[in-house]
Amino acid sequence: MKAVIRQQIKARYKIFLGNLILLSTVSLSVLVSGNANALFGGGSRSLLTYWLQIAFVAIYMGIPIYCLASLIKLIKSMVFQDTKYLLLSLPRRSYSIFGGTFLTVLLEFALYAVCMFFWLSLIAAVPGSPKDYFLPVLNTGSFFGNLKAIYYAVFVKRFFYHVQVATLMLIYGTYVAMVFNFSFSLFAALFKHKKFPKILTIVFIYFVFDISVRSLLALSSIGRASIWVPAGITGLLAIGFFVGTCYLFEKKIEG
Amino acid sequence: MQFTGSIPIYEQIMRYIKKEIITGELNGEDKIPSVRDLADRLSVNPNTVSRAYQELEREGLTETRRGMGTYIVGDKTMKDRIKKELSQDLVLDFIEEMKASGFTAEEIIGFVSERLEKETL
Amino acid sequence: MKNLLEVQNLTKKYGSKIAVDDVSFTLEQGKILGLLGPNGSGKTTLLKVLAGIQHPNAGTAHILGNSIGVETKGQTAFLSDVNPLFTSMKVDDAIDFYADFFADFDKVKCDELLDFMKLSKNHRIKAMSKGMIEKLNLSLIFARRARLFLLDEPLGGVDPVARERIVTTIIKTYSEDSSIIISSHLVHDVENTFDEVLMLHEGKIILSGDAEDLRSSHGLSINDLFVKTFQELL
Repeated sequence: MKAVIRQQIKARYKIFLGNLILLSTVSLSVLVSGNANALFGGGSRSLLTYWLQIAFVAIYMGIPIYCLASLIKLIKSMVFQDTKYLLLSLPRRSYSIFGGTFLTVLLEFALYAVCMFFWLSLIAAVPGSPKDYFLPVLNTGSFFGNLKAIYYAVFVKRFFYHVQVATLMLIYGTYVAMVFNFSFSLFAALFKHKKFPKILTIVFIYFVFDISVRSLLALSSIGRASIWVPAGITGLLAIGFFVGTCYLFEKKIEG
Repeated sequence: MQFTGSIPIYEQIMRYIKKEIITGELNGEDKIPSVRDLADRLSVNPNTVSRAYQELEREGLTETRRGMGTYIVGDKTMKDRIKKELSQDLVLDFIEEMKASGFTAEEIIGFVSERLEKETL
Repeated sequence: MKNLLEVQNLTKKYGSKIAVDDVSFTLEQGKILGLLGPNGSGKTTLLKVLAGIQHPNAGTAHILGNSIGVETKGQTAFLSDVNPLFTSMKVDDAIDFYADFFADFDKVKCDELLDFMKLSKNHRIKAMSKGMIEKLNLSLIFARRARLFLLDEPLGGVDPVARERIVTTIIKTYSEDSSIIISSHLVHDVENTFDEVLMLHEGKIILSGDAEDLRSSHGLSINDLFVKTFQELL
């Protein structure tokens, strides 16, 4: 798996750095433009702040969408393009190839998340920022005071809660990604030598989602108390779809 | 060196080496290229070259000295022997081809004499 | 001489069409096999099954005693007639990729081959012509010390000068530890490299034997024998 991760990092790092720079530039501009109030509050704004606002929203929404899209499309180059001849001829197990790629992409997103959190914390800490836009934070009146308060709130006071939220996001995100990847693999295994028509994507994915969500709901009515039962089931389904994708890749996908 | 596809290549390699011996290009105690070298040079399979060398050795024309390579045997009668064999092969091929083209024995002799006379002039 | 490859009753179907039909043969170490046949005779399919890219419907294939799988993939080098490299890569990215995944990859040899083929390392694959990409793929394959080389139409799409270079490379790569299977339409250009010949028609073996023996018993070059055999059939 080391080779897979290394090669994936190599293939992705330029875009990653580009995104990071874009993210940081826009965030820094927002931070430095002085008053986030003008940006997020009402009232008149200059053309610059107008564009900054659009850019900010675009990036902060765009990156998570880009992340999800990447995760979903993981298997595509492995089963629908000529590169599959290369990948199928590698002396590696499919879980190594697929899993290694998945982990690399996940790592990339974790880094984006860290970066976004970093900038958001700075922006939120600026005295006078509308508290309504961010988590209720002690408005200590000073930048560093606010910053300390934010980090305390996130990493100490409600640390466990945040860890749980992150874990749930990871589980559900992985589940969604695995459903898509499994669908693509299933299509490639059943309809060999055909390119993937976009229409069928929706059909396939709908069916796979439908079945799994139904089983999820059915099973989650068992232990109503905790949110972790459906989460656990989702996690198991995610693992199941991962294993299914790997199995299809190794045994049923052909070049 | 161009090869005819219809005759086994190893035979053609052998003939080539025999010709070199007759013309004096290769003499007794001369070293011939290694199997690998010749294969690379002629763009043929090394196994083919190997086979040619084995046959040459079997016919007593070459000998392989361990750690040193393959050498032409320094035998004086060998050259005459090869000359005779090769001439017989060539004559046989020629006569067969001429006959297949419809020429009689007298015609063949006539053409050969005529041609050789012209060349000495 | 040890058998490097043993194929027994190998069958591969695409739906109802039988591409490889009950094929059995063995290939010793240190031998070069010419795999010949018209389009659609099953040559590419056979090579893909041996490379582990396709799965047979019946029969077995063993490379050095192992059936086709992850381990044999590490010992097999497959040159497909389609470019499998990521077009976003540059030449040296492709080299790095191969070096990372194949333990038997020799970077020094790769540099020599690229030099011989007159390819530069900085070139983007996207910007390379079909012929250049083929030469690149060939260099990458031959830079591996694989036990079994599977070459599917290695001479297709390249000019005559390049063809000669490729034949020279095949001969230079030959070693007593490895075997090579070459499938090609351009029989004349490459037949001098064959130890053995296998002719396929509609997935079945219709002729096989030692190349030199075939030449002397038929009095024909392998190319002419191919033409003659298939003229009678088609």
